[in-house]
Amino acid sequence: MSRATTAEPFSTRQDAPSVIEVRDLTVAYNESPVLWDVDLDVQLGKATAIVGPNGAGKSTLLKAILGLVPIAAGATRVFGSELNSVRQRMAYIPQRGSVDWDFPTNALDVVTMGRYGRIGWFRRPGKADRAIAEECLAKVGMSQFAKRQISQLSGGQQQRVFLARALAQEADLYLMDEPFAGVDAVTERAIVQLLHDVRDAGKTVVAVHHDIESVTEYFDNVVLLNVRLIESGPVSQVFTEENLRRTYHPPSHPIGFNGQGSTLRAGSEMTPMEAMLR
Amino acid sequence: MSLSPHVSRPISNRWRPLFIAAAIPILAGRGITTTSATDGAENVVGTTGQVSDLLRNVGGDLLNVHGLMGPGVDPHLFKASEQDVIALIDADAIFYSGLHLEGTLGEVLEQLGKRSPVAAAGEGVPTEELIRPEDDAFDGNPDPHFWFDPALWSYAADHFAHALAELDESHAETYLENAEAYRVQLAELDEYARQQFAKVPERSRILVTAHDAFGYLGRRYNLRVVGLQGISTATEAGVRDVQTIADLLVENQVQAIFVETSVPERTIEAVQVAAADRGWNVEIGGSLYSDAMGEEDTEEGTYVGMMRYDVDTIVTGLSGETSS
Repeated sequence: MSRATTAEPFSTRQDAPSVIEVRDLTVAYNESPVLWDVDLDVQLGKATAIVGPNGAGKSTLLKAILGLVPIAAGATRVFGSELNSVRQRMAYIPQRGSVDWDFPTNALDVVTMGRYGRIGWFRRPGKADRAIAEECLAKVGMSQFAKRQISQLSGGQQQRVFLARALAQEADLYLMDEPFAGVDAVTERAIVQLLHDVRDAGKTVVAVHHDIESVTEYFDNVVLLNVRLIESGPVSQVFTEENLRRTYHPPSHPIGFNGQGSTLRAGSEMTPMEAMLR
Repeated sequence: MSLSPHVSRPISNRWRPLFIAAAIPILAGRGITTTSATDGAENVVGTTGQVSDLLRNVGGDLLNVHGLMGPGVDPHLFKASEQDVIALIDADAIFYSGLHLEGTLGEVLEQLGKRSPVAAAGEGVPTEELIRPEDDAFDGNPDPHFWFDPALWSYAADHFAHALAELDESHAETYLENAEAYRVQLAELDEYARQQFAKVPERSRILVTAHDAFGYLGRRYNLRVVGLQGISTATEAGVRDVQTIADLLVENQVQAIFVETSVPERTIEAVQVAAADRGWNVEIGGSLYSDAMGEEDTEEGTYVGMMRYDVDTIVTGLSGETSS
């Protein structure tokens, strides 16, 4: 990995290539921190889970990496570069239901959207792009639904369509927000298969994951988060009972922000409005 | 909002059976030719910039698109010149936006309807998706600015594709494929807009603007649209309106308002002063494209580029990042 040599918060280590570097990241909503001073490196070619209680800032962390939320302090880099120059290499699969998919279009069209960044904003997908889209739809077992309106598909089917779209993008980094939430068993297997195929092809996967039981089975690395970074590293080392306790039941203590005291949120439920904003 | 799946109407109803009037025989009597071009492409006329852009996207090389309204032309006020009428007479088909957007031009189109096939973009939009303001802002008609919702514009793409497929049957498949490819582009635009507006704190998603064109944009992306049009600081009611708007801006920490040259500067200044009195600084967030699009051969000269420009301008302004 080559980097600029000027003084900067990012590491210049050569030994463990980081796909994502997060430095001193703070994100706030209405002056209350959602993420507080997070430092994180995501390793190349691994499947990494982000784990933590509701309101821990897991989705916000993904969105901050994608540049979808304003950052109060700190910085993030992907592939050692500014976001805009690598956006096309990043595929994002938002949380199911977080986007009301009411655009009047069919499954194949949605997958074809994945080609967009490659061909540019003001060009249209050609036959080759459509062929790739059809292939990706087949990979997730959705070929027979190609012409079905996206709004008429079940939640699991929609999720598979969005996965196919991410595949069509031919990205190097896949960011998924709770890909397994509320999906049927068939879809869950399809996602796991895909996640491992992508990783085995040398690409990087980061997923917000809510099911603690399956972390060890599905992922290589884990990030334990509760507004602050609790711990991150290989599942075998970091995913311990003690660390989980620290993640889900942290001691409540005030932290300063904009001169005001505020209390860390410990597993508290978000209101729907807060959830929408995250 | 949920969109119901688009149900195509029978093809025979796609072209509106309209009536011819005096203009055509008179012009024909002056020896004006009405033959088609010889290159095999269909000669079509589009009224607004958006309509012409849609035709270019759906028709590609199969169409010679003659756009009537250039950059900066207000379709409500457009009056067809004799040249325009000649272009309309020469056309193999005429496409317009509809829902009374084109004002008096609509009458000319109706006169030409029997001679040439005529199709309106608005006919493709399911009627239940149209906004019908309670205050009768559009003289009892639905709000005609539906292109500000890319999902509704995608219905227009379908409608035009089917109309062209009927006009030029040998290329029917190409028109339909083009429309499908363009719909993907519109879906991408829609997702971009959603992601951008999500960056603005929810309570600050208030668009104060002078033009009445943004109702559909507001509905689709959950922006509250507040109109400055028709507010005069010379009346007591106007002064009260200015205070109300200033209160709204201050309470919700809205950082910018958006202007058009048609609004008296005094009204905008009054809003800024009223907000400043409450200790809140409101910037001018820049002017937005509404009915007309940008210059040809620029990104803003296309529908997608115009929409992206407006979304970026609004999001930048409401996020307090306005530079000038």
